[in-house]
Amino acid sequence: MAVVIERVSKRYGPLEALRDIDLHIEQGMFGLLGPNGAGKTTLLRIIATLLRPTSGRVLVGPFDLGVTSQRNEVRSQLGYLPQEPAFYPDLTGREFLDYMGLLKLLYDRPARRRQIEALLDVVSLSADADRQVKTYSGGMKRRLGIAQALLGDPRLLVVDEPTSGLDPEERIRLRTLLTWLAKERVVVLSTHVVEDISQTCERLAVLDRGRLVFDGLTHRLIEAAAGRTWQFLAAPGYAVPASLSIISALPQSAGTLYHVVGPSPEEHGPVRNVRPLPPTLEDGYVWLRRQKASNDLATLQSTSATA
Amino acid sequence: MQTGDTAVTVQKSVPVLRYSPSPRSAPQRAPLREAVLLVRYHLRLLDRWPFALMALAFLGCALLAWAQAQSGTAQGLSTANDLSRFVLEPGAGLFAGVLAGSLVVSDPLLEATMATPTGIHGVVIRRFLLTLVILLVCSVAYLAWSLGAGITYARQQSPLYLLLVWLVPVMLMGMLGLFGSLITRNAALGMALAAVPLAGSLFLYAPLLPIQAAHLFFVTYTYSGGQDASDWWANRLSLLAVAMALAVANLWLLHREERLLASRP
Repeated sequence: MAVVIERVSKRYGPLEALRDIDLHIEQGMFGLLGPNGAGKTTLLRIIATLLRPTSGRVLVGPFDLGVTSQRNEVRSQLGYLPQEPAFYPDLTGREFLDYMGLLKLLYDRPARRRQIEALLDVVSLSADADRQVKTYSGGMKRRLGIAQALLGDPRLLVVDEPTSGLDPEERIRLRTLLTWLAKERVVVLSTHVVEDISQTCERLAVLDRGRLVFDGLTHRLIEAAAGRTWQFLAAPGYAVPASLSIISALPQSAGTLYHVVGPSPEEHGPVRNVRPLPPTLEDGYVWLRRQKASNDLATLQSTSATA
Repeated sequence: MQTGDTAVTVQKSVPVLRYSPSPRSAPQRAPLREAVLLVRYHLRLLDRWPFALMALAFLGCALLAWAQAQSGTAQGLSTANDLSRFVLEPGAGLFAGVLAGSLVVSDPLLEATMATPTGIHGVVIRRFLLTLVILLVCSVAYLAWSLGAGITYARQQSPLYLLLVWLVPVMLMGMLGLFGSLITRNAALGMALAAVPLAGSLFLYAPLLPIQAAHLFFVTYTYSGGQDASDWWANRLSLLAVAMALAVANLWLLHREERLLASRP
C-alpha cells in the first residue's frame, strides 16, 4: 500500500492552508515536519479522510479519497490519532478501547479483547486499564489514544504529535513501537519533535506555510547542513549575529557554549574555540528554514524592485 | 517501564498486537450480543441529566394531572386533559429537540469517531434512536396511566391517532434541534431553534387560526384545541413531511464532516 498525493490544495476561505502538494508515501515511516500553521494537521486530516482537498486528489492504495465509497474502504484500514485526542471521561481505559473497537467493526469479541489486552500492555496501561479515563494523566491519555489508533491492525496509521506529553522513556518506547509497526504498513507521523523523526523516519517532508519545501530522504536534509554547523565559546555579553541560527546556548563558567547553523563564525575577540560539528536533522531543518526565509526575502525584494 | 528493555518488550508484543478474528466469526454486521454491548456503551455516553430531568417532568405532570382529575369537577378534568395533551405533544417534542441538539457538537470524540468505518453519522443515528426509545418509554407510561385515569385526548382516539399526537412533534422538534446544532455547530443554539416552532405555535395560534393554510403547520394543534378538527390529520402529515425533509438535510450535514470539524481547533 502507498499513499499518493497529487497537486493537493486546501483553502479555508481566503486562507490557503495547502498549495499544490505532491507526495508519494511508501510503506514504512514517513515524517512530516514544519512550524505551527504550516499545514501539517490539514494534510494529515486529508489523508485520514476527514477533510476533502479543494483541488487535487489523494489515493490510498487503490482507493481514491474523493469517492465516498472508496473513502469508507480506507477507513476500515485506518488508524488515526488526532492532535488533541479526547475521551469519554467516565469510561475506563479498557471500556474506551472496547467501544472504539466496536466502532471499528471488530465484532469478534475474544479477538478484540485479546488485542486490547496486548495494546494496553504495549502502552503500559495494563495496571490502570480499569480506572476511569478522567483519572488519567496527560501522558496516559496520549498512550490510550495511541492504543485506540492501533486497534484493528490498520494498514495506514496517521499520528499527529504522538509523543507530545510523554516522558523520555515513553517516547523511546513509542518510537520503537512505531518503527516496528511500519514494517508492514504506512505510518505517517507529524511532530514538532525533530528527534522523533530523525530516530524513526527514513523519509520526510517539510511544510512551510502550506507549501512543500522538502521531500526526500532524512539523511539528505541532514547533509544539507554539513559544513554549516558550528560550536564555539563566546564571552559574556556577546551577541550572536543574525547570519547564524542558534540551535542551543549552554551557559558555562567561561562564557556561553553556542551550537549554531550558518556561515563559519570568525574566531577573534569574544569568540573562541570554533569547531565544526557533525550535522543533525535539527541543523538541517533549521538550515532549510533559513534558506526558505532568505529565498522569500529575495523574491520579495525582486518583486518590489520590478514594481 | 525500563528503557533498556523497550525494544525487546515491543518486539515480543508486536505479533500479539494483531486483531485475529476466527474465520467463521468476522461478520460485517454486528452480532446481537455486540450490538447490545454497543447500545449499552451509547446509553452510558448519553448525557444523563437531561434524561433525568425528562423523567422527573413526566412524573411531575402526572402528579399534577392526577390532582386535577381527583378534584371531581368538570373544570378539573378539562385541565387534566389539557395538561396531558401538552405533555404528550409539545412537551415530548421539546425534550426531543433538547436531547437531539446535544448529540453531536458536544461529543468530545468527534474527530476520532469520524475516522472509523461507523462514522459520526452512524453514532448520531444510533444515539438519536436510543433517545427516541427512552422518550417513548416515558411517554407510553404516561399515556397508559392517563388513559387509565379517564383522561381523553380526542373524541376518536385510535392508537394511530395517539401515535401521531406524540410522534409528529417529537420527530419535527428532534430533527430541528439536530439541524440547528449541525448548522450552527452549537448545541445550545440547536436546542433553542427546536423551541421556535413551539413558541410560534403557542403564541401565534389565535391570530393564525383564521388562515386555513396555517393549520397545517401548528405544532401544538392537539393541545391548542384542534384535536377534533377535520384538518388535524392533514396537519400531522404535513408536519411529518417537514420532519422527513429535515431528516434528509441532517443526514446530508452529518456527512459534511469538514463543517463539524470547523468547530474544533
